[in-house]
Amino acid sequence: MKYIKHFSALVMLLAFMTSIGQESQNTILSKFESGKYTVYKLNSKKKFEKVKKAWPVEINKTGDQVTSILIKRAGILDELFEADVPGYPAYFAFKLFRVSFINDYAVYYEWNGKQEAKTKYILVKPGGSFSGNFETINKNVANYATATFKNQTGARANVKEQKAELAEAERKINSLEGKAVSKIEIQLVSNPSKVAHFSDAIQYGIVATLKDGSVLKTPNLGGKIPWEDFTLSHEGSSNTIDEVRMEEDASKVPNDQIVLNAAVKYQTSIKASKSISTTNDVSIRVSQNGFYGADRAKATKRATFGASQRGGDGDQLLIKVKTVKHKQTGAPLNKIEIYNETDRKLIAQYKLTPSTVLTINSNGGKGQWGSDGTSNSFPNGDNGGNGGNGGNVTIVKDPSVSTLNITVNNNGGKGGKGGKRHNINGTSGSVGSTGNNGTTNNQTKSVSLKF
Amino acid sequence: MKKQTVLTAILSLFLIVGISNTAEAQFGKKAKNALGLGKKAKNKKGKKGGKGGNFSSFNAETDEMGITGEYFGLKDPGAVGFRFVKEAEGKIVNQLHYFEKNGEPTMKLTMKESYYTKHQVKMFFNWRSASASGYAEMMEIAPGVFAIITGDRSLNKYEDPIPLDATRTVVEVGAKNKADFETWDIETAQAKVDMILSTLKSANADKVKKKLMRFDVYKNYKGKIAFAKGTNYLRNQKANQPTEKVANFITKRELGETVAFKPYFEEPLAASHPGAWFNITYEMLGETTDREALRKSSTKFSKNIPQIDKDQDKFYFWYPKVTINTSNNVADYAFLELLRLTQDKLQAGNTYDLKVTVWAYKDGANIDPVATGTIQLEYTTDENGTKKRLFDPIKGWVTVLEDYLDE
Repeated sequence: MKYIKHFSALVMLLAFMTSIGQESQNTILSKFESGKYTVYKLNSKKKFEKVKKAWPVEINKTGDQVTSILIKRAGILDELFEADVPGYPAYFAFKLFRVSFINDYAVYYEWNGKQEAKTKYILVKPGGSFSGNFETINKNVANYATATFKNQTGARANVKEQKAELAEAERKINSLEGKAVSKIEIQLVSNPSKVAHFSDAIQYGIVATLKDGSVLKTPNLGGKIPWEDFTLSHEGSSNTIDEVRMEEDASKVPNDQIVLNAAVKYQTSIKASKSISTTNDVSIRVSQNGFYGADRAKATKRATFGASQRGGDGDQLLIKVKTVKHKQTGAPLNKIEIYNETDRKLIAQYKLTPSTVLTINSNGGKGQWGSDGTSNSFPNGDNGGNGGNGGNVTIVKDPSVSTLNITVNNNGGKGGKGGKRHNINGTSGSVGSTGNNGTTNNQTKSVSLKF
Repeated sequence: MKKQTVLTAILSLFLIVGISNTAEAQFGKKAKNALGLGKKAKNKKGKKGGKGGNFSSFNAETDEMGITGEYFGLKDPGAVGFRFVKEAEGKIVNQLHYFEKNGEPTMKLTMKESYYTKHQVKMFFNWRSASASGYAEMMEIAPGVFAIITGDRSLNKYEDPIPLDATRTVVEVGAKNKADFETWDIETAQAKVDMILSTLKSANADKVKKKLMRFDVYKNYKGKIAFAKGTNYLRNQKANQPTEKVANFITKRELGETVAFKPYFEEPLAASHPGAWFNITYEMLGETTDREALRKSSTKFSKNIPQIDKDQDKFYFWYPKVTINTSNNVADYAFLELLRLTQDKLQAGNTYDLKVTVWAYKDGANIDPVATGTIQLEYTTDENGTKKRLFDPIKGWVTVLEDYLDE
């Protein structure tokens, strides 16, 4: 008999889930009407207890579709729950709460990112009935919601389509597509004070004048022309909308200017170009320091044993400099190439005005600390690791170079701190020795640079 | 054997009931402690109908707030007295004096004046100690009805209540008229408090946004995503003070190098899309990868792509995200998947646009984009550049992902 009861309950549950899993709230709500609903709230013992006052519930429809549910909590607080997906709602939402109608009642619940429901109230329609426990209601409503989400594909696609249609309509109104454009012009949002490697972004927009005289602008100039209307082919900078930054590599700025180029996609003959001469006056710091002793394993990709590791040496650098004329202004510019001889790698190619500071750091890394004495058997603190040596820097200046504002820091790294002794029988470790300073070798000879 | 099972089950049931009752009792005690109501109940019993507990004389008093009077508790039906005090010793104080017995007030709560002057919200608070449990707050939810509230934040300033984004829990309702308890139970009071807080938060968000507009970063990047060479360039120390320097942002980077990014929103997600959380999509060379879609596609992605369920109440991500971070070997698997999908189209010497979109995500779907940005990624020609970083036969990002997915 007991098994028959369980089996019946299981069959009913499955039937319930199958039936409700297929129906949207629009279908289910056809059996509901506005009115005063009996409310059961979940008490601290996780039991439902009847609330003294019934709550008015208003079901708002547009045609066959339920758009929202107004619940007047305790008859005094208005909570407007709106359909999640109009056309095929799985629930109605108010802030972080949701309401889904199933059987004779509405479940008022919280929902979390793990697809779990936590029921707060049950609102039973006039003449309806309710039975069930907290866990079952939670599971039922979660199963209903997740099953309905899967059935919402069509409705969601409709919503997406409607949004896309609106966006497309908005785009068409503002786009240059199908419009007779007489000219376009590139405008800077503000005039940049410096145009150099690592300078601030240059913000720009595009103004289009139509043949009827009307003027349209891109969003950053206060208009609405979509950037997709233009084909961009900037030179000497990133090829990005809204803002550009000068290339960090001087070989990519061949004419000492950034040239912004834009063409209308729909009328490719309508083009605009704006040239911005570089100022090459932002100070640059290049750091090729040795690693900290504690990072030796990571830097060398070789296992180390214990502390007291020596700091890494600063890299050996070869810096070639040649003075040329700015191709737009004729002012002198230092072409600078920095080659890392340790890594056999070209680090940078810059163009800087002679007075702009270039700082080169090739200091030795600091030595690692020494371990403390740990026990009576090992009472002595270890010595700190030695500092790495500063890197040797060779600066080769072409005879054309008269001024070069360069600072080289290639000091030896400091030694790591010694470990403390464990007890009076032990000795404290000594500080590691400072690494040797690197040399800076200045040469003057003819320099050939490939940029 | 059967008997033993039944006995064990009954014993377990008693234990469970016992634990839940203890928790309930402790909670009740905490709630009462918030305003010392428990103490009052004990006094009443001890005094056998002494002077304490009758504040009907308060009902004859008037004050400009309409607060002063005798109040009864929903959970603890004993009477207490509330008196609004505007002035004391020639100074404006705007306090709510709370009485459990006649004579000196048991507690003096301070009014948050700006909430009243700007929004007509009557809210009073008191710090009995610096910990969260030492905080008590009372908010008028209807004429003659107060919600008694505890908070989850410890003291920042004695002069201020806990911030608006703190969790406030209604633990008791006090009303002049006992009939009001027909309407105002704890949950309804909580709902009303949440509504009031929602209004205050909304006004506060407007204020915060106004302040944020003083910063070039927010002014120029709201609705957009800023990129940088490392997360350090996108961090700041204080909330709602985006002091990061625009000069450190980038628009182009070598493919395979560290790219950190940070979205700035027009308004917090909690306000624009309540109940939603964030998702990120990456688009390049006609391919798109979606974090949430990938999370649902396999256990491997699910394990390595955590849900972004923080910062819903902020105007930007507090911690920047990365596509790849070479300094700590961390990458977004959704970005790596994009590289895996596009690897046959990538060529040395070319530059590619990577579009990053941050979405409001709910119920398995991207609802609306909340910030977008594009960065150019350059496939470098040198041997130790992009090729090595992405396709090194052992440690390349794409290689590692492919090996992992093939396991």
